[in-house]
Amino acid sequence: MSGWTGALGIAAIASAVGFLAAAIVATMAAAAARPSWRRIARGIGIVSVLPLLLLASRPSAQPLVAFAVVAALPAPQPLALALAAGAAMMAGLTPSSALGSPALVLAGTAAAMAAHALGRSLSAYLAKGHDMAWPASAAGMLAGGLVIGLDGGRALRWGYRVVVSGPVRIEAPDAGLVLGLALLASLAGALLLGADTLAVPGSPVSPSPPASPLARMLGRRALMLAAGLSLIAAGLVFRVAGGTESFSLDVTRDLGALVVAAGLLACAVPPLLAERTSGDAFDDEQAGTVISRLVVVVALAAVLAAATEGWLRTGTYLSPVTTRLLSAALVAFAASETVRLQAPARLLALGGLLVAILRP
Amino acid sequence: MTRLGASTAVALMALALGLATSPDLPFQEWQPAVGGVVAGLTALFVLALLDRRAPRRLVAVGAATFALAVAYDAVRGEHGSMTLAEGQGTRTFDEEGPGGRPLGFHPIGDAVVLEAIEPDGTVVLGQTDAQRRVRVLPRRAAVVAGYRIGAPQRVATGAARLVVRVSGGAEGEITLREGEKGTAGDLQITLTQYFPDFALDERQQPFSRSDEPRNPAALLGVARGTASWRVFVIRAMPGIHQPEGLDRTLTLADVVPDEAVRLSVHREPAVLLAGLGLLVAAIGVAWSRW
Repeated sequence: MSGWTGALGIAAIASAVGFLAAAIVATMAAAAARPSWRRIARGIGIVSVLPLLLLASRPSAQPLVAFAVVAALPAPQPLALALAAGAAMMAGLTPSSALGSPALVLAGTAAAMAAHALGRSLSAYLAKGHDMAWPASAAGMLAGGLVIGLDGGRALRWGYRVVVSGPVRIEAPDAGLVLGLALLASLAGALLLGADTLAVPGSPVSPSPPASPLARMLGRRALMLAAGLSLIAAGLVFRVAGGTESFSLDVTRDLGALVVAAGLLACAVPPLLAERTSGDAFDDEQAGTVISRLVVVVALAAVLAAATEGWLRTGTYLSPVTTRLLSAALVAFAASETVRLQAPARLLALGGLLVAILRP
Repeated sequence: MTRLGASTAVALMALALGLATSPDLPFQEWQPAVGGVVAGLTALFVLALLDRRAPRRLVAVGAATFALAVAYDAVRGEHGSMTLAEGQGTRTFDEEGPGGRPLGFHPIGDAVVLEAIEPDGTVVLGQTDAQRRVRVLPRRAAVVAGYRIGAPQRVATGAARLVVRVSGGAEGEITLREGEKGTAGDLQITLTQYFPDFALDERQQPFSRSDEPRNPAALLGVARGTASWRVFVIRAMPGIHQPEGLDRTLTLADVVPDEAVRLSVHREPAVLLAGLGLLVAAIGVAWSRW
């Protein structure tokens, strides 16, 4: 690995750590209703963007840099910042390619805005005084899903292999062990919190106290443990992959997924400890609606750009990227229209846009 | 109609369309009728949006224009590929239908000759009738006889020049193609059959798994005077076959595969209409109440 590549990698890691810290501070600010902490989170987010600007010249990193910048700049949203941490990690390590794609940069921008819209849905949910155990349980499930998705689900067999290139792989048994533990911890946390919430037939607006404070405490701690283990696993994967000539796309994606899992899990815990509700649900819903509409506009612009690129580069406007982005734009449109099931629709839109960016 | 235009109905239709058109979800592989469902759903979606205020009508017009353009190109457009080796020409391409279904040869309207493959992957095509040359870059398609030709990819043809080395007496080396004959040392060698990716089937018969030279091997006919032998050579295991009576060792020293270029070929007459539809739909969404 060359010195410049190594420097970029270090910058990306610093940026990812900064985004993770910003996400945690932003979550704590929302849970404790401390506007000053929000300002600190915003500052950390903006500072974390700076190292990423070094990567803006690399075409393959541009969509991820766009995602991280748009996720960090408008407001400190924990979910968007946690995803930005993964994007920063990937931006620094992704193999460079010759040509950039304005369509994917627009898709990255739209995805970051979709993350903000989803974050606003969660803030509104929190502000209405709903029990945060459900979102925390969902975060645990999502993190578990991300861990299972690595290396074709080898974490289920306590294993992990670092993809070097093509079929060449290096066994990383220590990473596999930690990944297996992270999976168990995240699923345990998700199940404990979910079961505890199901055990109490409380009203959604004014939730009853937990059925079992012990289960809730264990669930919280399991999520925290899983967050730590995900970061350790990321470090172990990074160490093994760092010994190879360059980071493959698969390793880059795996590292990004682990950082995102750690961020999601870390952000799921502080709201569980909040003693009172905070934020303005109406304000969050209004902002979420506006951002959702913006997501559709930017996603449609990305479809138009992808169609033009496809026509100029390969001869057809109906390239796989165009189709993928069109599908994501339609789901984003659905999310901007619906009032019921807004959060799942926004989650789907975000997923569709992320798939469009990350699929080769 | 009022119910169809309700936000929930519009959202559900958009969601269903989004999921059905996603290339990452295997709906179209499961059921070919999904294409018809998408067409019907698109019509309903447009109707539902037409029932609303002006910006939504603009979205409806944009969506309808884009859908019509895609449908027109699906019916009247042409898609496929052509594979050419250097110096080779063609007047047709392999047309593909929806889902990559092969439809056979389709005339291209001019003779196209692959004149050169440059080191960066750029392909120079000559148009015989039009007396002009076009360059197809790896990331830039070019127009040939009304078709957009692009995405040049190097592919193996399955043919190659094989370097066979003779040792253990009168030494020599010879380069042969399949079916060719030559002399190396005191041996007459014929390259009877070439296996680029050698493997044995369940009846222990040799075959090639692919056209890529991953495990090259060959069957040679060897003659000296009145004696003759059949010798099997494989690059991975030099000298593995030593027929009785042959006091020379034959090895497959090198393989130089013949390369060709596969180019995608497209003709989409409604491309501008599709772009216009997307633009109008985006303007409609941006104009909506915020």
